[in-house]
Amino acid sequence: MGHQYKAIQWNKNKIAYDIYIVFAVALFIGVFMAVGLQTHPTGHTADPVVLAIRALGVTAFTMLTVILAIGPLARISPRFTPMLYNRRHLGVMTFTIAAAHFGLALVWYHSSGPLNPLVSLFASNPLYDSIPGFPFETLGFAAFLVLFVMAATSHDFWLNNLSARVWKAMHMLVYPAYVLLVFHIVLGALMTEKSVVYPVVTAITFLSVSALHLCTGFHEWRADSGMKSLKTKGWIEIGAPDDIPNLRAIIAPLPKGDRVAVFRYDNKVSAVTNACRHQNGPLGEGRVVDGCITCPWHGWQYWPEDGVSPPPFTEKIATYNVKIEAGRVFVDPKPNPPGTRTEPAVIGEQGPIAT
Amino acid sequence: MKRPHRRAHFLLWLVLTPMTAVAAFAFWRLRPETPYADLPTEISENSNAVESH
Repeated sequence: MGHQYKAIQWNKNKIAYDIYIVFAVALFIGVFMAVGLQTHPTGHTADPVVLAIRALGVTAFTMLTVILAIGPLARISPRFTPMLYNRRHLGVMTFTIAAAHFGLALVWYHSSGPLNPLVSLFASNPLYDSIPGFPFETLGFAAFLVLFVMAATSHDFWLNNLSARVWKAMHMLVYPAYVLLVFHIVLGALMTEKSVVYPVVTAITFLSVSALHLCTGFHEWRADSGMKSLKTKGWIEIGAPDDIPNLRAIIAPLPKGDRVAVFRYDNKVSAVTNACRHQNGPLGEGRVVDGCITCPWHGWQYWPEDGVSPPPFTEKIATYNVKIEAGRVFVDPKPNPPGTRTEPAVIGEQGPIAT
Repeated sequence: MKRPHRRAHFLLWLVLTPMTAVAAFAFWRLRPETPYADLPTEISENSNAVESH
């Protein structure tokens, strides 16, 4: 949260997670190279350096695939939320592996001649109008640049200074970068492989990630357009207080595509915006922990009554006026300025509850 | 406050998925019978790049 910046935000869980990832990456690369040497004992890819380049590339692509799957998986099941919490470290590690792949390939294939290796990368193969001979390295380089920008701006310093909206838009470049990597593989390694196993695995990988994003995207789109809120005298009807699980929320659509998260806690009901200040995470999918609404993505917290983060943090989110009438919870669709204190509606009190 | 990019995210994947799948399959079908790496060609004197295909 925004109290102060640290170069790397580590805690006990994140350190353990990072150790697991480093171990898994080393194991993956080792197994890939061992299997590669067994299955390709002769030819171009039998060279240990070439095999290492491929191992690093496949590892980076696999890690990026996992990263892209985490978001939709976390929306499908909260069991994947801890992975979301640690996703940023995984992203930076992916960039590190991609940098090793790029650096080794640049040195191995482009540093032995008179040209600057980076110039050689673009100039050595001019077959831009050919499919089988296309300089696929340029596609990988373009994707690498995107990964560099994302890794460089992954810190909360950039998130706060660029705003969540701009930061998110910029980090959506990872999707075109992923597509570039698919073509980097198709026009590169898959042009030389005779086995159908490699293209099939590549296709399944890409289509799985696509299917996850399309399914969750379609679900969100339906949630936006399908859910019709009941309006009574300008207030949105949410439902009965008992419909809201204790210490959790119901998310309700508002006009203009906004969403409100209506929380129940301590026999009270309060409503805040569904978008976290950090990365617009879905607050309504979080829980009330230690009296604070806690974002399921990265654990940012806010008091339910005023949408203010507990000290020493200073973030604020919009609140909504809420009331209970005739056993039904109602929310005023007009948001209050971030940090505005509202009286929670008390469950069990009779009649209209002033807000 | 609205979570931005929700619709853009969905539309992006809606466009990228079929485009990538169709193009990648078409490109793969055009792969050479004999991979470049297996051809007995010399490395061009005008380039310092080793053929990486």
